[in-house]
Amino acid sequence: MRTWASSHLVRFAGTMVLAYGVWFVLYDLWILPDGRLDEALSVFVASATGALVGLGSDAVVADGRVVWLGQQGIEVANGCNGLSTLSLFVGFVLAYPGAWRRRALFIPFGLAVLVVANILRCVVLLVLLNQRPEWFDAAHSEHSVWVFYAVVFGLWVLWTHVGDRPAEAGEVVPTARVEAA
Amino acid sequence: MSRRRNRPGPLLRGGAVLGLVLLYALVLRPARPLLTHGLAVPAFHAAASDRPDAVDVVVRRAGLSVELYRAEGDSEWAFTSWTAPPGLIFLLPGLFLIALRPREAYWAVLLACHVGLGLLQIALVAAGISGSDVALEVYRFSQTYGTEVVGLGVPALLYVVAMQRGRREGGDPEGSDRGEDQPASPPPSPSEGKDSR
Repeated sequence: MRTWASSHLVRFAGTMVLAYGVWFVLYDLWILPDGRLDEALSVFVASATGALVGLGSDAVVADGRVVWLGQQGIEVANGCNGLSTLSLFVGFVLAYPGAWRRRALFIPFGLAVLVVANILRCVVLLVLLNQRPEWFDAAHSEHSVWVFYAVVFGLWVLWTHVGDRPAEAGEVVPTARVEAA
Repeated sequence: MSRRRNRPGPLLRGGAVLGLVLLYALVLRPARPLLTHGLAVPAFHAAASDRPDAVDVVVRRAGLSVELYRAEGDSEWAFTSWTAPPGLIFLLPGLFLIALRPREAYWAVLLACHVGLGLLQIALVAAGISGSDVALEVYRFSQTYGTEVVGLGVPALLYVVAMQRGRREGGDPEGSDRGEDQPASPPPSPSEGKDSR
């Protein structure tokens, strides 16, 4: 009996590489030089971080990409706004077989979860910087990335269940196709 | 009943998890600097043999990673870096897989993928050092997505394989608490996709 791995792996891997490749080129050539998407996402994450931390403190100021807590502030730079993680998540969901209607719902859901996770990460980092500044560097550079990894992995595993469920009546269930990316 | 008898108990599951932790701590983690010093650094030096003064190869983090600096231009910033596999991004998903199905060597498949990607990345960096800009771009792509796809995507696929194997064997994956109606059904076949599109 052929397993999922043997019968679909090449198509899955090809779709994923194509999806990531397209995004990689688009990002390097247009999105990064343009800067508006990174800027908008960074400002949103910074302002949401400020709003959340502001629930417990009056000393919070969000100023563009920077959010301050007292005298300490963090900047949500391009590499910290989670955009690459969002594309990482989407590539797998596009490549793994599933109904397009479910995929169209699951991708925005997953993106929202990842953005919220990044906001919570920034909240923790900002509070750490204010309360335990000696922990900040390790938390920022080494530990906080695991938040993303755990959430992305959980979403992917969830998608293998949501996408795999038998189609409901009238639902379009294509397999992953290279051109789908 | 035999299925239930064959399910791994907490002792087997805990032992397997502990075994992988020990394997990582005693073998795989110490092997990473050996891979750096024994393969990556010589490969990078060999690739730069035509112009040995053009690239500085600097080993960081006690042999876990290598940074490459251009001798000319913006020489204060590494133009690329390489990290020896397998790191925590192998260990944690590996523990998940071994806890899911301790009798299967899915962790070994994951380990092989990490090592294979690491070796491929050494080749790409070496090609980049010897002058191939395309190889460096492909390496950058593999850094951005390859490491995370191998670290997270391969375990997710192995999870699917484990679930399907468990279902084929007549029940849930070994010891999982999931009911039989919960595991994923097989993905739709290509013909189903064409018909329903």
